[in-house]
Amino acid sequence: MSDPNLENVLLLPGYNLDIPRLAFRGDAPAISPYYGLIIYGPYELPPEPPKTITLLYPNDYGFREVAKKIKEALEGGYRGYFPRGFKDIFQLDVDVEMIDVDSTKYDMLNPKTTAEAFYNRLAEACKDVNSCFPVILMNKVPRGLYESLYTEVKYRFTIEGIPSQVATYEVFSDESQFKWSIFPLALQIFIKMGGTPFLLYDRLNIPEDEAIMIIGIGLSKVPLHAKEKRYVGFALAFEANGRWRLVKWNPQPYSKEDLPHMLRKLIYDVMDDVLGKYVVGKPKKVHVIVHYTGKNVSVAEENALRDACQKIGKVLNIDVIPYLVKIQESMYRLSSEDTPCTDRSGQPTYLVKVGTVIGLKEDLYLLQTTGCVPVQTSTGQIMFRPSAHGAPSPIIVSIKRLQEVRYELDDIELVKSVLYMARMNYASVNNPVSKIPISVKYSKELAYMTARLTYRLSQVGGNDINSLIPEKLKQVLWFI
Amino acid sequence: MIEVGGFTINLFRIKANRPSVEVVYINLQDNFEINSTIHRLEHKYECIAGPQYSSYRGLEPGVYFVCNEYENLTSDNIKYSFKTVNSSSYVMKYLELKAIARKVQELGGEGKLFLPRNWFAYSQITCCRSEALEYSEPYKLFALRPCLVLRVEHLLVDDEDRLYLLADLKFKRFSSLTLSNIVEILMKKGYDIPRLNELLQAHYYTCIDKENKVSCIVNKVEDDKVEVIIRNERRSLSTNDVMLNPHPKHTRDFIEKKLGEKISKVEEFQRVLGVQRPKRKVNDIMRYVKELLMDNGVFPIRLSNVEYTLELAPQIIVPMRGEVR
Repeated sequence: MSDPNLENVLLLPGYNLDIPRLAFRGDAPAISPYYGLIIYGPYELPPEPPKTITLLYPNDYGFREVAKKIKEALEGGYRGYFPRGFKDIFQLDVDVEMIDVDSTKYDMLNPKTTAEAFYNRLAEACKDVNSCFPVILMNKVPRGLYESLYTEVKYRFTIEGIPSQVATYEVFSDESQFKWSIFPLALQIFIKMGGTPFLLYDRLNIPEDEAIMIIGIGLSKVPLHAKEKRYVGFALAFEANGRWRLVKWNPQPYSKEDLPHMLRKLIYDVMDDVLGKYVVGKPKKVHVIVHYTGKNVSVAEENALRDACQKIGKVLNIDVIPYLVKIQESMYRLSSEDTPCTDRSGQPTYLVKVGTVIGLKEDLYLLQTTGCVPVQTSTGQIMFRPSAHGAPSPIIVSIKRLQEVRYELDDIELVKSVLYMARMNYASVNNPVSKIPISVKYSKELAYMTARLTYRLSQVGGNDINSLIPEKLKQVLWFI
Repeated sequence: MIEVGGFTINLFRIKANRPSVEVVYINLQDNFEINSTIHRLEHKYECIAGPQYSSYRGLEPGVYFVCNEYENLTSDNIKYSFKTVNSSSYVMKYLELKAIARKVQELGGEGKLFLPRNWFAYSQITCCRSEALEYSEPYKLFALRPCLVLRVEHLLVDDEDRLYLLADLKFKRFSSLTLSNIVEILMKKGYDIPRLNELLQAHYYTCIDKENKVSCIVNKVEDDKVEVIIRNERRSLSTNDVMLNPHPKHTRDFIEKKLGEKISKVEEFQRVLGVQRPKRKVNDIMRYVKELLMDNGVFPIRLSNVEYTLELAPQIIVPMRGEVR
């Protein structure tokens, strides 16, 4: 960068956060999921894994051929992209079987009947449906489609207590996409079986006798019949090491005045569950970092969040400090002359290093989560490579100050909480950092599922969506 | 010449020719009242107004605005006062953005810019070049256009208020896959109505229903009307208000094989342009800011007694601490 006009220079605070390492089997640290899983294996196996991976596919030539290819790759691996196969990498003794579904019952425009056909076929083929893990092969549906086959299938299996995995025909029928998608598919199957492939090895900086909980919250406006609407809040709770603990919902009538009450109850219930069930010993202090995206949180809602933390603190006699962090996608583009990443042709990419933080203004930071990222090759060597095409935008991390709360974690520690959660990327083995942190990444999927669950609740009666999720799914990341 | 490490960013300085600007102010504390007052000022009195929700750097909460004339406000008994504020203060980012939007809208009306549906929403403006970079053949059902997405940002630099234009560039593909166009092409190809309805039924569509875009399914076409299903309800809409969704697999087959439109060239062009690395991206943003905004006279822009100019150079961020944690 030469000859800049000093008029156009902005002196702003900048930080370079290290990419935290991940922990695999035996707490072995590694940078890349690919390397960690291949060399060490997953962090934790599922307590009760199914015996079979059941590939359900519409019975026509195209789908059958793709299902065959997926089966072979899961069994025996797929070159260097997924070496050795599912059994070996994930250390689980599972078979893979293919079950066809009458293709006349497969209709993208008729999601309910099609989802039913998939479910019935699984029930027919497996004597005990809990011993089979369904992988459903279907066509791509437009993103954002509210009543889609994807949502309907996920809902149909979830309501029966069966986690499921969708494999998209358009992705797996294209060789250039297949090779990069087969390991992530296996990874998601393993997670939905109840396994933990990796956790964070490095942690946020707090004293040993204190604990951190990260809660991702989302809010969904759900239309029901007869123009009735509901607000449904949902919250995901994670421990400091990235371990997911639970998802909870709380529906309310469509009234902005009721929103603070709903959020207060939701946060209280989540913290009560996590602190009561999972936190070993009694920490001296709990830092509750709330990540959210989308709608702005009003002052009343912020106060509700603070009150929920204070209330649970009093009940459990623990000092609970809440923090509020908003995460947004941005339209900023940053270009760096000083980048270790080159393209395949050896040309500079000008990509900014992942982990770069720019303090744009008070309480507002740009965090680069995609760009130039360190990865580990199969020999363990660390090198930098682009994690995105084009010119990826940083995300915006805004720290919201809560009235009468003195923040003890500094801003950069809160920005780090976002980077650390972005590191929990269960959707890819090759990209070690997700653009959006796992705490808010699945807001849309959960919102769609929320709509289906709320509708069901309005039919069966009752007011607790959480009761619709079968107990056995509550320990499994079924919604990813 | 000096060498500076750091990052180039797609922010362009907006400079005022005077340190302060004369605006009109209504003192309000409640957010809802602030928003409804802005709505009224803009829609009834054609003013440009911005909110200030809490006290910040000497600006009191309320609405700050400028109008062409204030007599109607007085006769409607609206209580306001004149104020002089920093011409680059926080609230001015809203007024500046809306002033840009007005000019962009005029240019859209004159055909000098192409404005997509919802071109001004969520505090950002989207405006595209009216000439397409590429059309699909033979029916020109798809057009590829460079589009700028614009926001105005306020930053404090060494305790100095500054305004910046945040500009991003997207190469957008616009389709004119309305049912009316599709039906016309299919009729020319000799399809009868029953076969035409059969062909049209197996796809996803987007319906414009009361100005909202919603997913829908087509049931049957009758003349210039079409029966659609929106969330399990049957509705009758104009064939101009129903668009074929161009993305899913089977629709592509339909577009290419049944309609005979060749879209791969447009797609490839869009793909190549979409993967520009950051340096070229920022340079291209600058090029289109010049072409679409400067050359069309969006800048300089006048608000009250102040003229705002745009500096056509992206900002360079030099990290102050460069701490490693």
